[in-house]
Amino acid sequence: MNPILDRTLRLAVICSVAALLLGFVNSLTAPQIEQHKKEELQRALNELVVSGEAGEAEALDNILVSARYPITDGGDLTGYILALNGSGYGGEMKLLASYSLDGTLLKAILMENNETPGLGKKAEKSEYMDKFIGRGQEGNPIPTVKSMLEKPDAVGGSTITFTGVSRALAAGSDYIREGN
Amino acid sequence: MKELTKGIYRENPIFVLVLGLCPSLAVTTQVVNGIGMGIGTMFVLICSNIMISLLKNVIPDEIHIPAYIVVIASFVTILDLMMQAYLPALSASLGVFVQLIVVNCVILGRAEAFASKHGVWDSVKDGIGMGIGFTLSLVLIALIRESLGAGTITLFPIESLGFNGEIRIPGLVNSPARVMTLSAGALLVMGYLKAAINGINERKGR
Repeated sequence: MNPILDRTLRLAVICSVAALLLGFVNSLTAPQIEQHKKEELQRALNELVVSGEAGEAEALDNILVSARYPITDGGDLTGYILALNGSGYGGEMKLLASYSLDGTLLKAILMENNETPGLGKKAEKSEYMDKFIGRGQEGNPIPTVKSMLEKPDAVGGSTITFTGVSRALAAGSDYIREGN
Repeated sequence: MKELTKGIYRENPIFVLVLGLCPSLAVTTQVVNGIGMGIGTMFVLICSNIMISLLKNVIPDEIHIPAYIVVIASFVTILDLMMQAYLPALSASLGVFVQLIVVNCVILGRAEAFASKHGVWDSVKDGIGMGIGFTLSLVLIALIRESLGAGTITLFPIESLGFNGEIRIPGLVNSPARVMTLSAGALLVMGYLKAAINGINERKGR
């Protein structure tokens, strides 16, 4: 047989066996992964609601704010949880944040991200968000550069992650204040 | 027995063969990451060593690198999916580094230098030995970097004992040497450990 054809065939066989194996493993693990993602989302939503309860998700046609969950307390709308998209050092980051109706950030969680472990990943800790919480209303914007913070030294981890997180949170606050 | 133990010290992948430095310097900011990365690499190393020693007569020399990469990448993807499904916490903390095992030179290096020339059983032992050596080295680097750089030692949390997975070292936790958790610290630790091991070996040789 032609040696080039022979090599091509062998490589093709190896690739197809590998693809078959991966397809099999994926079909085993996909439901589990889906389940974990759902649980994680639910846990995050429960944690974000300060009082009252979160409603069903409404998908939004916005690049920065991809969905909102209304928060109701005894039938009254008290705020929204927003699903936000930010861009960090390792690509896209997803955040969930709850706001009151005047745009004040109540709580925020960094969800899916590819930040560097030990550096940008520190933004997953709840203390990280403390510097943004309680800000966002008219005249008290969410800080988007470190110099706007009272203690800039306190920001551990990467500047790029900080910028990505803070811009996403600020965009969420703007979205709420614009009265959508 | 020689194939099994050589990876731990005499041919340690990090300190003697100097293979796979990029992930080892990147993930060793916390001990738990070192353990996770080490075990993940060991799994891929053993599986790819088995496959490659089985296929060594099937794969023609001209295309052996692409064929090895396909085999290695498949096992890494399997590992990644398994971790996401059954160990989501570890998968979240290792993040992008799991996928990066594909380009870890330890694995391709052992496939090329050992598994393609030896039988299956020897290749398994080589994979286990190199994997243990790699894991121990990562844990050693991480232990030094994390305790000096952050004043903590992060292990797996054990909920039944109320252990949250973090040991705080008194004195260091409030004023850690931050540089150790950054890239410069990784290179410093790596350099000193390599020097120490070279020194020991030289003294032995004399």
